[in-house]
Amino acid sequence: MLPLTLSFTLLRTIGGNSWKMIEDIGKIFRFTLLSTLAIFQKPFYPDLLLHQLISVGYYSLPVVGLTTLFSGMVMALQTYSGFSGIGAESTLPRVVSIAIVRELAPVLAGLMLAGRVGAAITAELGTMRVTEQIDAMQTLCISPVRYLIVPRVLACTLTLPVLVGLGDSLGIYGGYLIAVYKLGLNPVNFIDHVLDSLQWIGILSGLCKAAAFGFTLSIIGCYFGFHSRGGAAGVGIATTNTVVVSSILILTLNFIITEIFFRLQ
Amino acid sequence: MTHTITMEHIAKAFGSNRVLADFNLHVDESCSLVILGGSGSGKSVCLKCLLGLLEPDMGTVSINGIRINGMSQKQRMRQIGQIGMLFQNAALFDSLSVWRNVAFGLIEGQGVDPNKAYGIALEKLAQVGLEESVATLLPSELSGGMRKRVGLARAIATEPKILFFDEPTTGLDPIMGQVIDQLIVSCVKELGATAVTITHDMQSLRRIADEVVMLCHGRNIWQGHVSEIDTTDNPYVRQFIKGSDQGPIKMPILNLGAKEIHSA
Ligand SMILES: Nc1ncnc2c1ncn2[C@@H]1O[C@H](COP(=O)(O)OP(=O)(O)OP(=O)(O)O)[C@@H](O)[C@H]1O
Ligand SMILES: [Mg+2]
Repeated sequence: MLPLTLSFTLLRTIGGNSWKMIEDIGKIFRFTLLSTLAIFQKPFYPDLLLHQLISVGYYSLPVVGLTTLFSGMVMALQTYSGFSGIGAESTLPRVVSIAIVRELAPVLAGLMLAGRVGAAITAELGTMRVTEQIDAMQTLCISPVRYLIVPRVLACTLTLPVLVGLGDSLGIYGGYLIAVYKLGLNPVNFIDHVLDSLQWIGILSGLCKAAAFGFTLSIIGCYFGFHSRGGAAGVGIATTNTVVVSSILILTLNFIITEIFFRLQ
Repeated sequence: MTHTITMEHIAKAFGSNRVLADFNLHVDESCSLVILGGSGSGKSVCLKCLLGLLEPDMGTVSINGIRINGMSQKQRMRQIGQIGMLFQNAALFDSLSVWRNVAFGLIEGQGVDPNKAYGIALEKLAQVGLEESVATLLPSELSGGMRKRVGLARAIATEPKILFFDEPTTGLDPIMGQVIDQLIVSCVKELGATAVTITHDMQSLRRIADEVVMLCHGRNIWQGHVSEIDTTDNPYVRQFIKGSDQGPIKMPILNLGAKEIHSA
């Protein structure tokens, strides 16, 4: 008797949780659609967008810059120890630039911004939700979607490619520093090989990823913030959810976009 | 005739907690209605249903003859326009300065020029007894009563035709309470607004109310003119007005203090 009730309970828990997950996915899709549509609707708030561009873009520069710089340096060291037997002179610059431009810069920047910006968006909107500020905005006939969400989503989608572009150069520069000053490679050859290995499609795929990640992390941040409930603890849970869900989505999207560009090549 | 605000057979529950059950309410144009009821009886929930912030489980809510429940936010905004609402906890935008809060509906909603809106905001702040020096502070730098008054100034800034006040005088000293009451009365009398106010303050009730509604057990158990509250034989209203613990309204309070004194 007991095993039977136990397995029923288990089944019900699994079923209930899966159902809730499907429901959540549906809600996120709906939210994404509505927010995207709202981007093209009036009124538009340019000053809010500017404010977000500065807080997302400008203040993320050090984080993204340092991350990519050190990743480039590490890539150079690791490639050298791995390939030193078979012509490090030409492989090292290629590996560093391809890894940075196509993968490391966009993914690391995306993950860093999920932590820095996504979490902040959720905490801010979540607090506004639980203190009824979003409700107050509605009674004043201002659409919270257009006023709060659109500027954040636009800012993240537009700035992440720019940040990644800068991250690309810094990452390669990190590799250059190690290759030339520590490993003693020829600087002119290094630059030649890097330029050789950079293809427009590689750069484009990195920038597309960046835009997609920026959009995703901001939408997820807004979603969890907008739907948080239950005071400070609720906002805390929502913030954690944002970081976890957007990180997973970023890694998943990374695979999908890589796959698409792989076919295009 | 049509009422400005109607709620019919409203039911609202949170899980197993049934807050409103078959609640009915009618408010005429340019009438100031006050809702009375014990703490936790569902007064704030009732206002949120009126605003469309909470969706009732059953029943209809109409404003100006337009049924608003079931409508999307956007439609509701277009049909009803701005509603002045003072939230119980003021709900000020904490990233905006005080005057920006007051002028929010003007600048972002109606596209009023910020310079002009600043002037209007100062005027509204003066009406709730706040000086110009407060205008540039952030809400976090204000006292509880000041926040409440800023919330009130924000609610009336766009001079909406429908005003809801959730405990406007709670947390204010008696003198300021009277100033706020007069402001509410003048909004109704001079602007012809329809106001629904929640209050626990009996003095304030007598100053601002035309009509009074008593909310108990999720229902509208009594509605009448303010002059009738002292003469009614409804036991709930009588008990509430007197503030006595003898009567049909039971407070679930364990009388621990008394026991301890006896045993000592
Ligand atoms: N968002 C919510 N989720 C769950 N329960 C809620 C929610 N809002 C209100 N309630 C419940 O509804 C009931 C009525 O709450 P409400 O805020 O309307 O009381 P009130 O009459 O305004 O009391 P007070 O005079 O103390 O402000 C309470 O029991 C409360 O627990
Ligand atoms: Mg209340």
